[in-house]
Amino acid sequence: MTDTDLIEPHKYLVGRVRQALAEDLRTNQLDIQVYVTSGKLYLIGQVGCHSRRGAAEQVACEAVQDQLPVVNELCVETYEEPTGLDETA
Amino acid sequence: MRRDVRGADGVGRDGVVRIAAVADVHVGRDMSGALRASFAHVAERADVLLVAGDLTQHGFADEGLVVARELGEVEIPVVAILGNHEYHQSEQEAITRHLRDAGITVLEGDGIVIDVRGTRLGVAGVKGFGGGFAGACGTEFGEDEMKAFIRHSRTRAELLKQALLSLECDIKLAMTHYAPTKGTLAGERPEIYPFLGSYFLGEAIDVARCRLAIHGHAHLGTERAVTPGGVPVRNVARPVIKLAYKIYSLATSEDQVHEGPHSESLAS
Repeated sequence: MTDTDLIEPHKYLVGRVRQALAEDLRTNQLDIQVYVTSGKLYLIGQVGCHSRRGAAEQVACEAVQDQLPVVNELCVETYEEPTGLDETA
Repeated sequence: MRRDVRGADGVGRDGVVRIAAVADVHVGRDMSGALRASFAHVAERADVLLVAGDLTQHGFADEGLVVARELGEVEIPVVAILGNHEYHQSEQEAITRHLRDAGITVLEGDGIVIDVRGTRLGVAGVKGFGGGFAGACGTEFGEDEMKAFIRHSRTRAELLKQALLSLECDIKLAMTHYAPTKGTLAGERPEIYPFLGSYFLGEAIDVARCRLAIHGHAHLGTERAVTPGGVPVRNVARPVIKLAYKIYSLATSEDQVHEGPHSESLAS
């Protein structure tokens, strides 16, 4: 157990993971939500493709350093064009 | 800068200008082709496409090239600004060059007037910056780093104001990446509002009496709000609108305009 674990372990862990997801060149994701609950670290949010989903999990696992299991709940986003023409057309 | 637009067949009618808008498309090397598909029918539905920053994921010039190739195929005028992601590798100038070579207008403290079937649509754009909102914002005080942060925000907003005021047009729009009001940040954690926008931008938009302000950056925010001066603000970050783009119909007269699915009308 480290000194920071004795103070407030999961807050610092969440901070480290979020920093890593934002700064690591494999991800550069600033909008992934990171939560610790029930002894697990969860990744929540949307990413642009499947490779980004995997990269986020990998970066998070490296930042966690086996302190907690990482649960990847990220969704791959798909955005459709607006349906139908504007009624004023 | 000035461009003429005839309007795609079947799209326009006299008295209405349709704006397609989106931000935060975050294209990377791993998403080639995705942008092309998501704008396949935009020219049938809108007169102009606005892209409010964060076109790339990591800010590499070759990501900008992917964006340029795919946005360059859109058959209506495309007007873009850069977001903070385009600055991450310090390759923003190369990204801008790729976009312009593809025929895309890239604004940063300047504007363009587009003639849409006789209506002069003016768009001024700037990336903007953070700093916070009135009553909870940073100031040019203390450490050099803090002063530089707020000075950058203030100078970007001043550029936007001057660009907006110089536009000679019938309809005036502002496009920023950072938010000009905290209203569209609802859903984001309040602690990070100073990193998401600045009231300096809202002040510029109000002074210039814009009809509409478009921004992105706040992925967890809210689509609709207004500035303190009453200008409609729309956060078109893709995770917020949950569509490839959103369409806003702007009346060129006082006539009431109906709304269609996934579109919004903003009367004059």
